[in-house]
Amino acid sequence: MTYQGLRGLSRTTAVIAIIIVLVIVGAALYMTRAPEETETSPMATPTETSPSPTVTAPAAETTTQTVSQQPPTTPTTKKKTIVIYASLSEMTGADPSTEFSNSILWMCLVYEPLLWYDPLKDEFIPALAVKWESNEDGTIWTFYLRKGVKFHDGTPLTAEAVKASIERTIALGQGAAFIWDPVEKIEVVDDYTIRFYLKYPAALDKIAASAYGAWIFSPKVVEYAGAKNLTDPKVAEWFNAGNDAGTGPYKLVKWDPENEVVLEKNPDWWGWKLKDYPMASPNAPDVFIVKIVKDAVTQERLLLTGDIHIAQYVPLEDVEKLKNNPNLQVVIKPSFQNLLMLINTKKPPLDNVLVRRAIAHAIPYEDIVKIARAGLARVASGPIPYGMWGHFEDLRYEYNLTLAKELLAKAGYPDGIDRTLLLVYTAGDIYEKRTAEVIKASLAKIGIKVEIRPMSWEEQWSLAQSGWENPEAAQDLFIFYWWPTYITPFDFLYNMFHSDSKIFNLCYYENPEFNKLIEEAVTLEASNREKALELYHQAQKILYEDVPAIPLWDSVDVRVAVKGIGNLDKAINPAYPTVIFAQVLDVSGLQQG
Amino acid sequence: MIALEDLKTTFRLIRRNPVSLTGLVIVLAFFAVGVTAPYILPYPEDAWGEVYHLEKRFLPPSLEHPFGTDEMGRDVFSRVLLGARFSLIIAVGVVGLALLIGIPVGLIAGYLGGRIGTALMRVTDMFLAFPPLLLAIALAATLGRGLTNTIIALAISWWPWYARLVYVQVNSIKSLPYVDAAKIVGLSPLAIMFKHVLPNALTPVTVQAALDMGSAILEAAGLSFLGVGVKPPTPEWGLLVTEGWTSINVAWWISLFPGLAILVTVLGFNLLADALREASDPRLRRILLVSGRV
Repeated sequence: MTYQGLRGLSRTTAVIAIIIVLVIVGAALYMTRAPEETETSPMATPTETSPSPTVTAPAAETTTQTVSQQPPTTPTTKKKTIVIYASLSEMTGADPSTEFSNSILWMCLVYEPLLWYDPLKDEFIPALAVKWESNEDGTIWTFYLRKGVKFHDGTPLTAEAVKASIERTIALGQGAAFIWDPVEKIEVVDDYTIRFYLKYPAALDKIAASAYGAWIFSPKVVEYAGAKNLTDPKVAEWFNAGNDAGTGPYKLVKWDPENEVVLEKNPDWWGWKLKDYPMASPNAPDVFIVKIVKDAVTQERLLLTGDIHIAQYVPLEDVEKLKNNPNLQVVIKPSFQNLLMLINTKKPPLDNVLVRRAIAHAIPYEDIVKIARAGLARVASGPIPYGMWGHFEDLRYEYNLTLAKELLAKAGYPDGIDRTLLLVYTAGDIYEKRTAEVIKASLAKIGIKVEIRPMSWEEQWSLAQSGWENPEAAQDLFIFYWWPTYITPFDFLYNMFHSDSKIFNLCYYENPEFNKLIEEAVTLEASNREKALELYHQAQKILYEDVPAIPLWDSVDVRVAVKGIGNLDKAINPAYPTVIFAQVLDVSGLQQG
Repeated sequence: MIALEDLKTTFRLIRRNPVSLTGLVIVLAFFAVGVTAPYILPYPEDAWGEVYHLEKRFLPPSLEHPFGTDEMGRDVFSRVLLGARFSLIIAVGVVGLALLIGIPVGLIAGYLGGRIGTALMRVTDMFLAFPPLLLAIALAATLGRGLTNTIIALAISWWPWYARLVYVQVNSIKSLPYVDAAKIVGLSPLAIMFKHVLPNALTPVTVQAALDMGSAILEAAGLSFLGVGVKPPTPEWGLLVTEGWTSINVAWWISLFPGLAILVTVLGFNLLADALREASDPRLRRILLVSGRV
């Protein structure tokens, strides 16, 4: 920038420019050839990974390299087996009571809830509770705890500890604490029996299996933190300093949330000793490392060079090619994340239901899935994602421009809308961006002009929040992901569409009839599932007619890993997004190459 | 301003030096494409990002699509061409705006000196205290995305450099006898400043401005790449590079060609600026003219 600094640059500039061109061309050629090269020598290009600052991690990584990349001729029976999983996002907090974000990725291995839930089979897997029951109408729930379970500090698990954990979560009232809202009172019947009395009927088994806010931890944390009681902020500080107090198969040994989190096998875990326990494998890795790699392209590069074993995200366009790579495996599972376009139902002309319906019929759903997700998603049918209970297949809008134009004409806009609609999406999300661009192009065909505006999530959300006060000033269309806290249709329907949910009902939709239906349905979840389903269906039919939001696609999870990682499919559960349950992995094939 | 005779000599100097000539040609071509782009696009709708073509995604470069197609099936060549227009607007806008603020500040501070001069230059120093790109990023993030905001953000972080440059020049010029003469004749300070001092202080500013045109394009591209620059689907070069990043393993051309466009244009401005500097240096010019290289 300074004038002096630029004197005499011309020749050198020319030379540097030529070098840059050569490097770019070289890099482009290298990219297209990379997979073949890695087949012969996975570690041939160590320099390729060094430019990315996010992947250079200290100490623990070097040990990793030496262990996991031993040549196949020297079996390393005494060395520890290591699996490295690349996460796209930084880890957030480490407090099991309040964590409501990315950190569940490792918390699911360190802490345990009372129950795990497998939503695809709709069954529970006992965790800290071995047996549970409820009364007829689902207002009193009793859980019988597993005996002989010890926290990582050696303290035995008792009903008191469970009560204390859940009560701390409720008392702090942060994160996902709301899931315990039905709980009136928790009673310790004896050391291994705990009873919940509810204010209203609820499916407490599913709540107890939540991925957020349902972890049980040692009550001794008060002592360790030098705190007065469990709700003392010192306890949270103690957790966030990187300490754990769980019962799970892994212990937290290194906590560097921006770079990596290292977990080590807990040899005393009860699950290793049980025969046929579905959540344990005899060949689970000794060390599980979560490494933060904030870019899908880099994750793929690291996977190909063998520097990580499992990638959370790779560019979706590359999946077909990676499937054909003999060194890799691709696991595709449903995920309960879906993408919706929320419509500002209070701002003209979108307050007219005919206009909203016209928009719903003018969106090429199939094209969006193909372009935005390279086909790796499912066109949505209603706001409840595919694979989850409460999903129905009769809620898709037909892509039909003629119909859309007719509806628009009927609404009084035969020549299209004279105002440019504002569509906002989260900046940096490539899938949302492509979706937004397809929607812009398609709505133009029925005479609706759209301006697409990328915003940071905070900006986007606060703009949307203003819509309750002043819908005119808020956005028109809002592209938005949702995934459930625990597995119930109510989570989707309440948060996005109930008029009491001011935080996430960003369609500003108010319909008492709909509110009543889902409020009734949620109380019947445990006692009368059939009836609950029927009510949820009716509620979604109302949404289908009113179009406060247009569900676009239901996501699938794509995880790519090196071949030696066995049981990867079993280690992924859509109820616990982003988690790889390392305890069920079989890495016996990993060392042999 | 630089006199006609000077311009002729400058041009003669540039013409004789192939490196300088390359710079001039690149810059002229860039201006030509930038001005005419909207009228010469092979696929105008693709360029503006108004359509998508499902069946034409990720096509490699061919005669029909010299730079290939992107993830939405749009012609990259058209988008890069139109991108030149936005880069031109940014280059001219940023440098123009920065000159508009920087020159008067430097001129007034330099000529008047005293308290006003000190005050003006301390304000300038405050801006100079920030690393320019960092300040631009912070401003762009605060103002929000968009072409105008990008220009404003970059111009605000750049004008102090011009103010300094002019200030230093004016300081040495104002004590020259002809300025004293003008004062004695009774010309108003404004007239002296703008008619007699400024033209002689402009040479280094011209060089710097030419150079900064390139930097402006580069930094605007950087802002877009970081996600605080212009809004998609505007085909700004930096944005085009970002858009291609996730598909770089299947379609390297989406990022490469806009990247090359940035590279060539910035290079062109650098070469030209260097030629201007050589031509405006009286000693260097005399040596070149006398040694018969021209």
